[in-house]
Amino acid sequence: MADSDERVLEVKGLVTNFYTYEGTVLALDGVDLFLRRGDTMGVVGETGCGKSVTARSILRLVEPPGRIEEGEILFRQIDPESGEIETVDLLKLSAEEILKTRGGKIAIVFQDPATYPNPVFRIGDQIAEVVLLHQDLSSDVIEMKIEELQDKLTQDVPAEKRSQIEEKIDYYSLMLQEPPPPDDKDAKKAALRRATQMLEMVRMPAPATIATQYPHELSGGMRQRALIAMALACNPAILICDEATTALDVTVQAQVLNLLNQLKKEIGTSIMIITHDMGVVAETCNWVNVMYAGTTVESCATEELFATPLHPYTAGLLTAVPKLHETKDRLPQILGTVPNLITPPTGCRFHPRCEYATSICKTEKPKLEELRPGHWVACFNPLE
Amino acid sequence: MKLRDFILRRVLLAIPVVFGVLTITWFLAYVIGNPVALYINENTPAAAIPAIYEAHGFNEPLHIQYFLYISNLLQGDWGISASTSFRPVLEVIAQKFPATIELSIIAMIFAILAGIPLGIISATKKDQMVDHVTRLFSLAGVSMPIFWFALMLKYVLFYQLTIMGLPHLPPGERYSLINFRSFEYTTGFILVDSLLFAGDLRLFIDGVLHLIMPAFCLGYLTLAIITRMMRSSMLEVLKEDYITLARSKGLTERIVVYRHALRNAMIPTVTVIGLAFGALITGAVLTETIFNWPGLGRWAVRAIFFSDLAAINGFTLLVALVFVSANLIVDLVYGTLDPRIRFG
Amino acid sequence: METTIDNAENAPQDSSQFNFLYISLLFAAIIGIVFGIAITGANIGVAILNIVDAPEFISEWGLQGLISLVLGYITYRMAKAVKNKEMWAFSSSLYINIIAIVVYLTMGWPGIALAALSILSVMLLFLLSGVNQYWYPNFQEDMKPRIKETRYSIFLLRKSPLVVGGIIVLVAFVALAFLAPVFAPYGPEQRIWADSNLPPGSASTDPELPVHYWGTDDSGGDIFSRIFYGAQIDLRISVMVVLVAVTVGTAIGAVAGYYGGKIDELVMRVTDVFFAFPGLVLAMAIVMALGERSMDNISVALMITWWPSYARLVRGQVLTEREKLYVEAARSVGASDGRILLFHVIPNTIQPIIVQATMDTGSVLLVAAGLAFIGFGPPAGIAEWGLMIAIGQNYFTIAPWAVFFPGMAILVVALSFNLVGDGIRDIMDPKLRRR
Repeated sequence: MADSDERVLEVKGLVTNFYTYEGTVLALDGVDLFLRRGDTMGVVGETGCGKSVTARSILRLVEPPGRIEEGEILFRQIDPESGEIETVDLLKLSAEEILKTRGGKIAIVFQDPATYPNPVFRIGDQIAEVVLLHQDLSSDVIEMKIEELQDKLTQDVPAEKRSQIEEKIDYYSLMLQEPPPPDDKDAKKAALRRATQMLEMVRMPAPATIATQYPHELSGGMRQRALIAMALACNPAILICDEATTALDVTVQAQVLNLLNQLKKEIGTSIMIITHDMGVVAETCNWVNVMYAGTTVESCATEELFATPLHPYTAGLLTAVPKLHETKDRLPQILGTVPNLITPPTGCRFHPRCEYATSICKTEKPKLEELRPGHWVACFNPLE
Repeated sequence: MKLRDFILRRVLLAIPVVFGVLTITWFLAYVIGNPVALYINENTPAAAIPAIYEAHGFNEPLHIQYFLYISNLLQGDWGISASTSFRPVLEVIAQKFPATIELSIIAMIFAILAGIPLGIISATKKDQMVDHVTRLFSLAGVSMPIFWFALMLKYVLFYQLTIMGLPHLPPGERYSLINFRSFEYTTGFILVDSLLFAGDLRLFIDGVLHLIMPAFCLGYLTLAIITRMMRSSMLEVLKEDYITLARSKGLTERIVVYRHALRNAMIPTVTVIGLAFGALITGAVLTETIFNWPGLGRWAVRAIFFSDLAAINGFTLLVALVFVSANLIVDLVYGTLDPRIRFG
Repeated sequence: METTIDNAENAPQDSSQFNFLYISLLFAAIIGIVFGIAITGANIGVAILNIVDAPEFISEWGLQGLISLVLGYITYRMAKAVKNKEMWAFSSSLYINIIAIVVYLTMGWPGIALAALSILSVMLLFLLSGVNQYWYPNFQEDMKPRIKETRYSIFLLRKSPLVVGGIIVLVAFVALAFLAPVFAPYGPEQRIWADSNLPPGSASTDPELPVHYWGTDDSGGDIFSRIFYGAQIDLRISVMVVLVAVTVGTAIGAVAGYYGGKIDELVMRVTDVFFAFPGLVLAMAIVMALGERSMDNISVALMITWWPSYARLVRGQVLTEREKLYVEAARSVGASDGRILLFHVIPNTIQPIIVQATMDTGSVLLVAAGLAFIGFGPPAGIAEWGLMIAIGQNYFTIAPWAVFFPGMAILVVALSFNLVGDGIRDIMDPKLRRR
């Protein structure tokens, strides 16, 4: 089971439906995917293929009329004391337990930096809020107090007071080994201090000022960094980026992606990147899941996917990406349109658009199978 | 500094509005109405009439009369109220204003304290039984003929209870005139005067009892308006992306609603509260009439029956001024709620 | 659009059938215009110049006269378009004729005679096979998405029982108001002094006369009958005030929003002033200034106080609407400003106006009744709800029903208007719709 142990997140047969007036939208129809510890995994697919719904389903953030119907979302976290791996099914957690997971162990960064931060709260407060909720700040409080005292020492103080302060510092340093629970006011201050540190970590200039500003005072790229800081504030085991760079300029996008990769090394978070941009995947991910109309169609390492795609849809997707060294009058495209998910095609959902489709594709749903070592495909007629 | 500039600018913006109000009241009183009637009746000797015309400037051309009217108003001469034993309008207003304002403020406080939670509950429990009941309750408030509601309340809470020999609410007035015969107003606010100046707790309680029915009656409409606004803006806000973000942080639904959504949803609600203050004074006209409340509303209605134009105009003008200042206050509150609005 | 061309080719070359329809529509148009001019002219004469000694029905039909003038003109335009076989004219003339029929039918026997031509036009639209084949398949095709939307609206409507209740109550009240002379046991101003202050359900002292379902007032008037006669007055005032306020406010607001600049600034300052007055207080002052205390003056006062809120609403809508691409498109093909406003911008802003107007009809009713209650309305004796409460209040302790029932009538009708307005918003608002 060593193989599954390193999968920090594993989604199996996830089904999410939306019950609307027009009918039931079968948005996710058995999504399978996994995220290995320390990996950056990409989920790609066209608009409306269920990428975002998958992300929200993982955190159980699907709102009515949507409902998660079936499946397992296994989250394997390492117990910090025993070092043992403990597996929970997020879909079976109680309402309170899932609240502890959200933001604390699994965090998410959303698409649009313009609408996601709350406009009436300061950036620092918004980050501090999540820290206060999930983090034990007792040692932070003591550290903060020591820092304050040390600050005093740098100033001009009479010798006798100096020794008093030094004594106090020693006392607090001793307390650090077993810090007492802090009171609310101190905890808030410490959380704000942590928020400023987080802003610094996401390479914000003048983090202390930014912390006191409101979202509308920041640019889109800065706001997105603030959102990332918010997500990373509790050192989550998993960070989900739901089109986190789509709304940004290309240059800012590159900065944010670089930042994510650096932070991954610093904090040791596993990252799941949801995007429709193959370029983003190629640049940042080492594993890719391709989704089509609410199903996973292919899953493998990034290089392998770009070199030898096995699913016809993936192949089509890749030829539709413009390449610098080729000149073509027209980009090839996948014929047909994304299916209506209220009455999706029978069998393989891709068959009406697939040039390799055979009769079995129309009647039976292909399963995701490991056709080559480390390369899963859901297709009856994979490309060879 | 910026705040002062902001207030100054708002006051400057209010000037044309007040000026327009003045013009309309003048137009109503002096062009369509007949201002001369105030000074002349059947008993006036015919010989005295030209002198009266002369004294009040009725011989002047209209535009001069207009300036005369405005300058008189600015100098504090709001005319003479024929229906209030010919006392100056401004003096009567000064005397009766506290009664109306006290009632309005209590009604407003009641409306805000009850309306905002009701709106929130209605929005968070959308399409459930609580929501349906709250919506019906608030729609009934908007559709309630306030004078009828006041009469019915009085019938049940005073008349029927009295017949049954149960403790009942007083039917009108600000305090029971029989029990506190020697009481004299200082500030004009009964709740303040009774505690600070008369030092009489019984009078205070009596004042509170007298306030309950009129304030509830008057506040119901405002309560309904606030509840409806709160509900719809809360529903709108709850669909916003930042609410999803707040949920993704692992906050409980309670904190999501009361911390993240409430402050945003309050922004449009505050505007409505400002506008509702105008409606409150309108309602005071009817409520005061029924509860014998010695305030401006009842005075204005009486003035109407005596065709006392100066009093009606004075009242109209005052209400407009109150309304304009209420909106100024709302704008200030608005600025503290929404950081995107900068003063200046 | 493609089907249009197909059908035009398949259509019979024989145009005599189209001429029939053309002539019928033309006559309907001429009658509408002549009739509208006559009534409106007579009304202007009565109102301003006082030169014509017109019979009473003329002023009663003032509104219908104006509407038929407008309908007549539109019908004329349509008749011409029908002659040229323009596709839009057929379905539009169906709608217009139906509206005309409804309007005419509110005018008693002469109206029925007038409606005959419109009925004929509608029949011709369907019965002449050539004409029918020409436009109807197209019309059906066009209607499909609309029918689908309507079905969805009805589905949404059925989910909110409160709104359905409101509609039922309103329809019932309007019907009962119209039918009051038929079913009400007593006349509106009929007094049986011996019957004064009888509780609900008691028999009249005169055994010949029917039961007083809701009791009697101090002067022996039958409350049940008076309430439904009163509905005629109160409903008519509310609807009239709102109609006039909507028309005037929409026109002013649309112009202000569309042209902007100084006109806009002026209109906004004027509305600011009106907003600074609470409605009831200003209305009081206006009725005072107008002199006579009557329901008519109350309605004039309310029209004056109510239009600014529509001007504001429409202006705001037009401001956002005029920046949209379809206005740009209309302008680029050379449509005039008036045409863009009337046919493109205003139809797209109509939804919030309808909602506001529906709710305001309830509010106007409240304020009008309130004004009548304080004593601005008609003299005692007239069956009007506010006045009935005002008079009943004097005998409140012995005959509370004389206050209770008229107040309930006001509450129920105003509540229904608000419920329906609320419902229309929930159903029509695209933001709330697909959820």
